[in-house]
Amino acid sequence: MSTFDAPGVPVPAVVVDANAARRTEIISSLIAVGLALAVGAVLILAWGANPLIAYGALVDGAFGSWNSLAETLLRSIPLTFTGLAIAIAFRAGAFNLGAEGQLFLAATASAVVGLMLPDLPGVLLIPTMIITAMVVGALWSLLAGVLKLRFGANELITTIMLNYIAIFLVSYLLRGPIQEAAGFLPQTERLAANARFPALIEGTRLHAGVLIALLAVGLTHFALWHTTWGFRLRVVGLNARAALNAGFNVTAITLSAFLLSGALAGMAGYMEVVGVQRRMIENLSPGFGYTGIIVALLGRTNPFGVLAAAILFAGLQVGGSTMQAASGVPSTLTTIVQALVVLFVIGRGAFDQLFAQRKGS
Amino acid sequence: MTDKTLMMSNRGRLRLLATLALGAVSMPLLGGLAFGAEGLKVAMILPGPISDNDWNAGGYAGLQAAATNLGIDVAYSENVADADAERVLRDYASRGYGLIFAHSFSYGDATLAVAEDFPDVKFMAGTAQHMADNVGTYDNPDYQGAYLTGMLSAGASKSGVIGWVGGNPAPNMLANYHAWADGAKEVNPEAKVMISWLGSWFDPPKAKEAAIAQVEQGADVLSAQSVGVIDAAVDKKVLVIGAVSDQNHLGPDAVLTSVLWDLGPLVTDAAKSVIEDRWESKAWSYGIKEGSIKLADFHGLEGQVKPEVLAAVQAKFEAIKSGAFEVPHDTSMVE
Repeated sequence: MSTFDAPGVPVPAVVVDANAARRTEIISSLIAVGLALAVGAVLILAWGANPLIAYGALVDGAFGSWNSLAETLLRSIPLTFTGLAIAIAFRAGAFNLGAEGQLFLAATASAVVGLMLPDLPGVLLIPTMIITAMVVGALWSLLAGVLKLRFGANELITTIMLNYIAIFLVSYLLRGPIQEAAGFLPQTERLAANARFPALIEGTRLHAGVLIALLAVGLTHFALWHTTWGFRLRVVGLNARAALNAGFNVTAITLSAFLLSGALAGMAGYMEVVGVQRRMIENLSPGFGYTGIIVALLGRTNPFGVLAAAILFAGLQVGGSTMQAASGVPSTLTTIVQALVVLFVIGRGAFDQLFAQRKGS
Repeated sequence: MTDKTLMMSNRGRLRLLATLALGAVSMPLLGGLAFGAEGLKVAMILPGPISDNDWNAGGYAGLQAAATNLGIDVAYSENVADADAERVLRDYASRGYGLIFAHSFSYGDATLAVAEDFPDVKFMAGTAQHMADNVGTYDNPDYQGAYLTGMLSAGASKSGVIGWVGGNPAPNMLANYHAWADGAKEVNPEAKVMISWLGSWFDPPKAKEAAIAQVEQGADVLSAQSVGVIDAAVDKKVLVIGAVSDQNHLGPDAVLTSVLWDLGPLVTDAAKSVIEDRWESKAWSYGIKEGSIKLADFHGLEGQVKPEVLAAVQAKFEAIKSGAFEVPHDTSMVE
């Protein structure tokens, strides 16, 4: 598990300089992305297209105009939140594969609250909806945390299973109790204008919520590295037995990680409801909760790394459809590239071992 | 870890972020040169794969027909989820596409939102309910054909039970169902008509299950308004009505006929009107009268239907074409 367990990425004992270790991590993440793109280029060649033209269209579609730049940043918001959610759990030595379900439930709850209080001014409505989303996401995640600590149920299984329960429950609600009056599609009514964020770039969909995402990155970083709680959380993640011996309340710390993780995943759902769809819809997330796992992995569970990885993956996803339209290369290729990034990040452990053996012999 | 190393690593990360931000900001300057505006470019976004021999294949074929007829540039995006529709529409609008088809009922909201920000771009929202100055709608008036196939279905059914399987209760789907049931009742007033919604526009396994469930309750002629139903009809050896394109090749002994939908004339006319600057926002409807809705060949299966019903269907087709008979357009909710 050590290769998967990002906080425990083995730092060779000879390296005392943490800065150098961090640099190695950044470089190896970049190498993983580079290798994935290179393999993707070979696949594009095999498809019969020119990789340079295809990648050119991809970059153009992701960053080539104010609109595409805005769309990429817009899509990086939920990925940043789910990435942070999974990173926090990783840091505490727990896996939260349930961000998708937490996202759906929290999004639904915040939309319902928003629709119930249409006359509340924005300054009150927005925080109310945010708090609702965070609380609901946290509670759904807490369920897996309690199952783990009380009954020893593996959270790898429970968090995934809870996704299905959450998503199907939301589907039921959207076809019944909270469906729009027109009743044609599984979605709620539209949220009132005072629930929305102002646009950041006129004529695009990028909204002020991106600033909240940046704030969350900063706060998470501060909490992890500059508070006692963050220090204890990291110790629990690295070695729970040692933490226990040091007198830390491991149960409370683990539960707090589950809560925060769920709350962050809930924020991803809230942002999609308020900033993109303006209502709750059935297929709200194209797997942000799962892509968040890759984002956390590529970002080395470091909040700023998560942000960079979220922007990269958002760019891949946004540029993918432009690439398909411009060069005929199917946008599924970008999905393959995303998966290859995972393989190369995980596979790095194998390379490290190989080099270590070389050096040793 | 000391404070000093922490600060240094912070600086390293800041440098990385700064590089990323720099790259992101300088890109728009490079990208602006790549796309110039010359001639009309038409785009279409579709909710499913263009290879579905159904709704999406119909849209794609219409787009390609317009490209051939007018020699214009076209582009399309398939499998666009509702959640992504606004992004993809915006992308085309911001890239100089002058006419954009949003080929799904569920893209209605997204189309209106994008149209507001791009007043010079014309949008055509498939089966949508709301129009704007630069948003027209178009439909698939296949309910006109469904009336005819309803007559055929009741005429071919031995059990007197027929079944209809479709995606979501959108108005065009409801119109199709009601017309099909009305046509069946004209031939056999006692006919029992079953209906199943899948809750999804494209879910072949679920469609197949729903169709099999109807057959097991006695249905022996089905209407395939979703991909997967024909598969069930082949397995269960019952007759089925295809949709959009001639689907007989999917089940040569099962597909009695298909309601053909040729979107080519509509896309071509819409594009031409934009080029000639006389496009107007309206509900574009091309049906049997305009030659866009037809029935496919029986491929030798006409023996399954009583001759007098076949003759009645032919007479009804002519009556609709001449305007002597108007198929009732009923979009009321079922169940």
